[in-house]
Amino acid sequence: MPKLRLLFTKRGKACFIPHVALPQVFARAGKRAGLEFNYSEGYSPRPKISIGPALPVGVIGLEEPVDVDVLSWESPILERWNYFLPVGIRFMKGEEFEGRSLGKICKAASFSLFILKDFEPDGIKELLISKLPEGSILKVETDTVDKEIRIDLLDPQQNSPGLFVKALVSEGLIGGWKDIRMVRRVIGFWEDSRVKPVI
Amino acid sequence: MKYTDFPEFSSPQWDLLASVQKPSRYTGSEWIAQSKDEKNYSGQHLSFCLAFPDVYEIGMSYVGFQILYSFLANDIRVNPDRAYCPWIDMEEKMRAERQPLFSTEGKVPLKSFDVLGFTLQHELTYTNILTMLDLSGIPLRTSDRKDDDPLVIAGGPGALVPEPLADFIDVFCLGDGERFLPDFIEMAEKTRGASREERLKEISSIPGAYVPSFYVPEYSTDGVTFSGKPVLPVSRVIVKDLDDTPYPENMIVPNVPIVHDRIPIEIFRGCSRGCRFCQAGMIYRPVRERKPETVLNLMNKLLENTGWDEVGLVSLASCDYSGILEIVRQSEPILKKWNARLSLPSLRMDSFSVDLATRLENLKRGSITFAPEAGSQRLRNVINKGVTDEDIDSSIHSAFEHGWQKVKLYFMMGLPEETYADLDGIADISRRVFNIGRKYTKRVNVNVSVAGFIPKPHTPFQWEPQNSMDELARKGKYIKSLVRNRRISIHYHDPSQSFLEGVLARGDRRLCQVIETAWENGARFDGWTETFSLQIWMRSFDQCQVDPGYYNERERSFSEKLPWEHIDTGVSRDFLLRERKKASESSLSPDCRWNSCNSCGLEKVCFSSDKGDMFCQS
Repeated sequence: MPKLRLLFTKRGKACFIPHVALPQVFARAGKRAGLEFNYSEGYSPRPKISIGPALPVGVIGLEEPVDVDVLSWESPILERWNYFLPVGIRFMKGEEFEGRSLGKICKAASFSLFILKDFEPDGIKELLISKLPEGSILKVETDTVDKEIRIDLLDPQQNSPGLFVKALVSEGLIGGWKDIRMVRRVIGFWEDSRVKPVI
Repeated sequence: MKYTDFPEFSSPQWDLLASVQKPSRYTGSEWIAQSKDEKNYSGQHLSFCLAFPDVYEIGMSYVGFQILYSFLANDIRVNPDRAYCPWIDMEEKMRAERQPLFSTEGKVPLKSFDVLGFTLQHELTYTNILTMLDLSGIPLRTSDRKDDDPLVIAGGPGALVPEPLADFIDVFCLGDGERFLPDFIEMAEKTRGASREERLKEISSIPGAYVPSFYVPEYSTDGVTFSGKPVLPVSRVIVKDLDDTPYPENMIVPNVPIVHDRIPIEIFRGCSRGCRFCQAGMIYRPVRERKPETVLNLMNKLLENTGWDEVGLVSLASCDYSGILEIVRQSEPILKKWNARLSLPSLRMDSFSVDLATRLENLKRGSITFAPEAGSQRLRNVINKGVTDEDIDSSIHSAFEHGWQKVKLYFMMGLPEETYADLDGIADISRRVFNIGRKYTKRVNVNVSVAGFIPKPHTPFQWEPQNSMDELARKGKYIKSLVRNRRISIHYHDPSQSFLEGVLARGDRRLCQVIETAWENGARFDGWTETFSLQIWMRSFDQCQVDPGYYNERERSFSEKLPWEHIDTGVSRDFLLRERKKASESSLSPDCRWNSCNSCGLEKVCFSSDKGDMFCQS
């Protein structure tokens, strides 16, 4: 049976549900919606649900992937599933897929960082490149009008966006997470100099 | 993208949530029985906030709130919500930001509710009640509350020993909530607009209501007496037929792990075993069972509606449920259909129970738990636990035979009539269990937990002196010293927490000042080792010139008027005295469900009686 690959958003208060708790959130909501899952083997069988690289608590996710192994599905299932999910978590689309796992294909992620203080955009790119692991910064763009820094990051499984915060703190630009707000706009492939979603 | 594309970032809550441990404790959005859209917020309804005085993950595991929430949600007159105690980091931030305490669902300030209903599950949560009141801007003392402040009520086992909280709680609800609440709601609605005094007067006439402000305690060498009206004692109310009592068919499901992360189904209430140390066994009598068909029906509906994959059969002694085998057999197709498992919270020490557990439990998941409670037959008879050495051996053999490798044992120290020979017995049993296990597996592991015995009100041991902190520490160290085997781990509870629990458990109204002082001095989450401070409490006892040992370490005379006897649980003083005497003779009182009646006082309401009012008469 082919698996289902889905994209969801994580907004509002749901941003404070830890990433590792998500499979159970999806499983329980799915069961309430009448979905039947395929289960893992072993002493503690669980619905087969795999999430992508960790999204830290307090970060909004706009196109987050999850793989689900269900016995069957039809297109209205997403609306029905959405009804049973907590406020702030919504599926946007899903399709059947075969192939490599999310851990293997999520090689890049794109972030928007909003700094709540005045900051000097010059030098931000160099700062991040110097503080983060070599090659991990793929692109940095700053927009002083919207006070937004857009960062494309390589290998999100290894490199946490917390590293941005650490870098900015080390230069005294911010005090900590309380001085920024972060959105992971998309996570997936690096292609044509941009990050593309998995589906 | 613009910052304004994400309005949630500008919420004053965001910074608070982002800066505390486990922010999901405060975000709610759980799957709940009724969508908020379905409720009419016209303001005509009685807004009722169930307040649990501990952290979210403990409060969400409390089956009582699932039952009461559903009960209230199905009452068209009521609009229920919930609140939990903020952890110390959140409290600090809330005070700094001047943010009041909001309810979990509607984000309504607690001060705006008509009713705030606490549950008193554990004495060491009492200071958290003051935190929740203070963060809500509600005066701590009932005497300071105005007409537009919520009615602050409290139920649960602690309500039957109300005096230590008497200055802070408007109404104590004695007994089964399902029996108490309909009358309370009617009265609360009927008296809307009236003065606080008038409302409490009307409410005090409801069966099961104790309004402490209407009584004045008088202290003498004879004990405590009360003057006031309505006439004392106030009796606990009891639901007679659990099958006839609503049980939720949908429940609040958390988005994050909680302590007991499964569907709780209460299969029976009460206990007839008569263990003499156990307060729950006395105050929840008589035994009332739900029929197996009811339980199975609930199991199916709840698995469908909640999405949980585990069901727990909840009661004080689930293996004693008369239909337990039937439930286990007939639940198999239901569990299979929903890909779920069944669990039992506690086991009797016999091979029947082990066999049952094996059918249900995931062997690899953990350990099998038994509670022999005392190290010798004699002492087990004193406490009426009645487990024999043969029972212990046969259940242990059975456990290892069925493939268990890890065993957890619960004991108490500081029991009445105890000698050091009994403590030797704890070590002996631990070693014996290990040696039996070694015959079956090399990977045997024995985990022993020893708790300091705390005498509780409304039990045959309510007159006992509690062992001092030093004594308990000495005994704990002694037991540990007897066992050198590294695969047997022996752990004993912090005697200082047991000390405080003992004081609060058998306190009177003079402790209210101490609790408030301790809270002002920074006492929080006293049940948690990381936040408990004995120093704060001892300083507070000192400041209030109260001797804590008067409450827990003093041996009380049988003629003393105890500060909880104005609350009638239905179990008679005479019975408790008889049982205390039998204890000193190491004499057993067999389980009254399968043997003759022990005349505890509840004969008029008991399962064995066809007649009887819904609430007990003293």
